[in-house]
Amino acid sequence: MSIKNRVVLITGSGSGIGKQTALRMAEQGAKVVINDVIPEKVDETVAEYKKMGLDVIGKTADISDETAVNNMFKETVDAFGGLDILVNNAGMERSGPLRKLTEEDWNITLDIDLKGAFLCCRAAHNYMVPNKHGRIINIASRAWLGGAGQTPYAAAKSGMVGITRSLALELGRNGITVNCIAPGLIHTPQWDSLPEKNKKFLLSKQPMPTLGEVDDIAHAVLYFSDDDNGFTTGQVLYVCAGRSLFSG
Amino acid sequence: MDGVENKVAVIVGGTSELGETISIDFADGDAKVAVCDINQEKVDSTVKKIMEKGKQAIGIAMNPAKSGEVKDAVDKIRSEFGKIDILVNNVDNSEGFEISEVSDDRWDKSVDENLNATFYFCREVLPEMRKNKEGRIVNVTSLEYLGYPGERVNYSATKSAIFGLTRSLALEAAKELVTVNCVAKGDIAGPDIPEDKAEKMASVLPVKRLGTPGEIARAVGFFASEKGKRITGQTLFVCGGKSTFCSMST
Repeated sequence: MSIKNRVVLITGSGSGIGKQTALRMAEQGAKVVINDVIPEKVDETVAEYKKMGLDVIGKTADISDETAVNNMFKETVDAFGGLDILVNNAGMERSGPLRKLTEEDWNITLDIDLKGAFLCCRAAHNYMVPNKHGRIINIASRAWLGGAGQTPYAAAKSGMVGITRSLALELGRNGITVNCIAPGLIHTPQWDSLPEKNKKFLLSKQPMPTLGEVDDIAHAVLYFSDDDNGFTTGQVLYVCAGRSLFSG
Repeated sequence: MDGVENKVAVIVGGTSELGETISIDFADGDAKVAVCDINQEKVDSTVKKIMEKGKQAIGIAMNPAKSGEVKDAVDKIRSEFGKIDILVNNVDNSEGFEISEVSDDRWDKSVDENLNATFYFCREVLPEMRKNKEGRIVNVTSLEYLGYPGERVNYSATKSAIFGLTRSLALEAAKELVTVNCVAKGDIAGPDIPEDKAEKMASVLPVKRLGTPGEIARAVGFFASEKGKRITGQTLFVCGGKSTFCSMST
């Protein structure tokens, strides 16, 4: 495992999967930028990890805002001297039956989940190309395969798969790999907020009768981030306890 | 490799260039390694390399395409190490021909070595893993299962079958938290590929270089370790991005 001294920016890392991934990467000696749209979450996470002696800084930014994204990457490079790894983790979901979905539901989901990832990739690659090294990891969702009532979310996450495969082809010659992780059910604050009945139903659909942990995703991110894993690119890895194997 | 400490790992086809890299990586991670392959000298050589590092290994020269020999090998490993935690199926016969050249014998050989060997080992090992509610199976297949042009129908067909076998067994064993995954290797550099051919092969890959056995071994190690415990039924292509040309690779 080799990511020591690599500079990592993780969007949406003020909580959940992003926060745990930041911890695991910093523990391996990476310099990590904690990004979130909510300043308190950034501050809390940075304070917590700094207390542990980890090399982290915080950047509050809305990733659907082009100027804010470009500034965040410039400030990251100013602070840490470069950028090696981008984890596009920030996301949100507006779900519901088609007849109830509004234009706003669609726009906000696509803006954050898809446009945000695009803006971050574009800003990040400018710093990776001259170094002939980079790792981009997109956190999509198993739901990109389709989910009733998840139209905007599935569309946005499908878009992330398209970004992954296109950029893998485009940036491979520059020593940059681009991969995607498609998590299934993971124990996050969003999961905790679901009614018990829904949790039980969702888990019953999963071949392995176990709820995923944020660490499962952090470990997959570490695999793709590794300096030594430069031959894996353009891939979608489902971390979903086998749920991707069948529909229904 | 980490996350495999004290695990008993069986590496079938564990002496080829890739197989030996996998065997040694597991040993470096402090797994107890059982190296299974057909040639006694090669088995001895791989085991010796591991022992010289002060790590644990046993070697079993056997034919993985014979079900009786597979049963005997598994019995022997169990009596030596107690149980089997990790099974890596890396047997590979990469001979490929256009269909009119595929005699019954050639077809049978491909099926025996690329598919049956994996099936026999899974059949011997999986029930115990399910009983223990613990275990990892990693099948190494080839990107060529997607059916790249090159008149290699027997190879592509038998490597495809590993994909279906992986997914079915993953579903069969999921309730007991045993995972079954697949690594699809792409074009790997090696002494058997002439330099000019290697350059040409690399030029068509998105990453513009061939892979190394170590890069395949690390993917195998990821699925086999504690870190991959909630990933099952998946195929990870380690191929320099070549799979992105194909619709079946997500």
